Amino acid sequence: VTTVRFAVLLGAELRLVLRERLTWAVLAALVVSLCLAAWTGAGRVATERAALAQAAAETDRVVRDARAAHERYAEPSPIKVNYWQDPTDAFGYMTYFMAAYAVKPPTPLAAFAAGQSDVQPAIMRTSFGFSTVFDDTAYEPGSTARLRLGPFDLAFVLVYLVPLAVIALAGTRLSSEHDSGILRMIASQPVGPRRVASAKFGAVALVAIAAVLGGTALALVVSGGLRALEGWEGALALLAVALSAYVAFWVAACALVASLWRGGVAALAILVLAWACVTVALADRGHRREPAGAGPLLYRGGRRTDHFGLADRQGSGGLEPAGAGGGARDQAPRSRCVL
Amino acid sequence: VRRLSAELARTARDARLRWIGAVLVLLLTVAGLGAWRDSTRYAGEVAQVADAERARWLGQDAKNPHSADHFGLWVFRPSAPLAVLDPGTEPYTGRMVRVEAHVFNDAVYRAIQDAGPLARFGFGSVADIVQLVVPLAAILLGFSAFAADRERGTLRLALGNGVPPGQLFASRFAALFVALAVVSGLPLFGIGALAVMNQDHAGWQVVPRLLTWVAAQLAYTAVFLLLAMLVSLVARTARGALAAALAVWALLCVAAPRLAVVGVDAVVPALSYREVRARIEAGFRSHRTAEANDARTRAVLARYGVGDPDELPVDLRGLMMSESEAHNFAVYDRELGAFFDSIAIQDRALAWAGLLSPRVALQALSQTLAGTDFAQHAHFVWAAEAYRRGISERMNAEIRDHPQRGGTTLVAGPDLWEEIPPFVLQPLPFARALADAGVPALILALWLGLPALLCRPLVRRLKP
Repeated sequence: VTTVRFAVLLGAELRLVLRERLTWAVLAALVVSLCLAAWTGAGRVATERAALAQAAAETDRVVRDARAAHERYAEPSPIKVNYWQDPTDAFGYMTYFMAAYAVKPPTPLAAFAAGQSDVQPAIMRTSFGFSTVFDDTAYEPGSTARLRLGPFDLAFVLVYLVPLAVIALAGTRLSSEHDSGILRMIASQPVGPRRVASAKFGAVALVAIAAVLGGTALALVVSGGLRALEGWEGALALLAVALSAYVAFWVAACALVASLWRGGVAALAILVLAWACVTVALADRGHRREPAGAGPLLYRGGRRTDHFGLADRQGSGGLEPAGAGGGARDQAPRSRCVL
Repeated sequence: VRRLSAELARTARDARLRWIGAVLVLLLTVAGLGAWRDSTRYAGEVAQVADAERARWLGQDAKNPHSADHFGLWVFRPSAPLAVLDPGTEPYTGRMVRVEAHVFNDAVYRAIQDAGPLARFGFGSVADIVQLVVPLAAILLGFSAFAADRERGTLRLALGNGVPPGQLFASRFAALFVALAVVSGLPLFGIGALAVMNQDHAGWQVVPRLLTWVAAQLAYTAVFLLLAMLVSLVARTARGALAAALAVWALLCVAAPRLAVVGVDAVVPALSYREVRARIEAGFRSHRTAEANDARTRAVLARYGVGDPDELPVDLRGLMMSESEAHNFAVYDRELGAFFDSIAIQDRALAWAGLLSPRVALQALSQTLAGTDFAQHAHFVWAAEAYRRGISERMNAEIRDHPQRGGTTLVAGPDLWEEIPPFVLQPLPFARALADAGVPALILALWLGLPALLCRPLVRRLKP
């Protein structure tokens, strides 16, 4: 009796896997999903970059407007110029002209995952004395449904849909052969069961890893989501290794379930429940920090006291007559009042 | 009825039901009690801090009314009683607004900004469990309704005994639906009852809200039970039925909702908030130049036929502040009104996107009935703005009607501060929620009717 070499078995299994219609249907759906996700990611990054450009343009406009105002008001005129209309007044410039932005540009790999970028502000207009609300609480209101359901980005496809694709490819690979009696026939051949199982799941793992890495690369190229890496090559390589390990983990999970439970129904049910637990339930429990109700008392922190203190000092009777009379430039202290 | 009782007895004996029921009841109870605890704490904090803010406003020093307007105060959005069941948009929208002169401030402090990056992708709330896990439970109970019997050969026996296929289908569906209603509907009703009993819910009309909310969740459950039984009617084997039903679940509950959002964003984009704020700033800039200010001053003096502000019967500064605020209010109304309208239009489009996934339809319906939809948030924001305008107008009127001569400044005291009532938010009425819920309810009904229609010919042609 001769033992078939593993490489031969693996090759035979690879041919079998690639001959199945289900394989190509699953891989096609996966690649389409990856392309769509990369397109949405590229669109999001482009929007973020456009917002940064708008902030820079706004900063330039402010300087232009201030120069124009200075030139206009430098001419002799009976018109009274209050400090908030006068860019040569330091306090007026700081509170009513100046636009300084703290920005957080997207990283070279930002197209992969929206992460927290849709809830944490990427641009903050820093305020100097005028704002009574913290700058870091600012956000852009928009569709709450989008935030609630989450973005359709590459992270979603790779973390949530890829395991489902692997389960579709490998979930019933051994158990269905057990159900149909083919496993009994294989057992009569001079090949050890471990070797057969390794070849079967190894073939699926190779196909799945190649499809996931190739599909992701293709999607990024087609969508234009990956620009100059700027020193992020190592991170990209680590990401590829992590993705391969993630796919291999789910193939191993399929193999484990196939070895512990007989029958395709039980295997599928257990794998999908395991997917739901690992990707949704455990991830959620592990990352919950602040319950929804812990907010209102936050405002009473120390920094807020400073803001209230400022308001109270301004409320002590130093209101500037705004809009009438002359000589407002040299008055102090100054309120933030504008007509 | 006898057949239904037999099916009910058979379902009750099924070990799957005990396991699935135990997991569902456990998940719903843990999530519901956690949300109820958070909600009770939040309500207490809102009441405590709102009282502190009121005391701070009333206890402020004597000062010029306009300085008091700048002194301002914070107002808070109370959580809807049924947010325990479905927090809806509440974690994604600000819950407190600083009310002060000149500025239409954003509602800030969103719970989601304090949460972890994966918090919104899981079973964070009772509604998430209903939207994701209950369909899975319906599938795991319903996939074998006919396919397993067909595989074992017992379907041939049942049909051979002269049982009409339609009655067999109806009794099995009814038995499974009753089982699901018991393990999911009852805990939902219990959590909802606990939430409404322990909180102040004036104006919320909680009983009809709770009943319609639970009914919507049960309708959603029925959609997936029908889909699983539809697949079971067609599939040759139980494994095939389960695989197909799970694929349908992954598509409709996991992938399609996000795809629907991508589609709605592309087809019906909302206005950019940053650009809206930039337009508001531009509207103010042209109004506050020295030239515009001078022209308005001269116009006021001409209106009263005087040449000196001290000859006016009113305080020039107060009058101009009042008129200037009217201009600002108009700019805010135009620009932010358009922005909130664009969000409402997008929300309506998303309700129609429920045609792609019943989860999307249920999410829109559920948060509307629970009173946690964006319309309630917009109502809070505009109510806070109306309150702000009320304070500004009163303070400006005080200055306008008490003209000061010779550069003196008016100083007001507690009598004026007490004229400002506390901020009280009345929720949008339930009738408005019912009107908004029309489209998602219709789409959920379509999702219920479509598999039912597809099942009819298949049941008539049922083969063992």
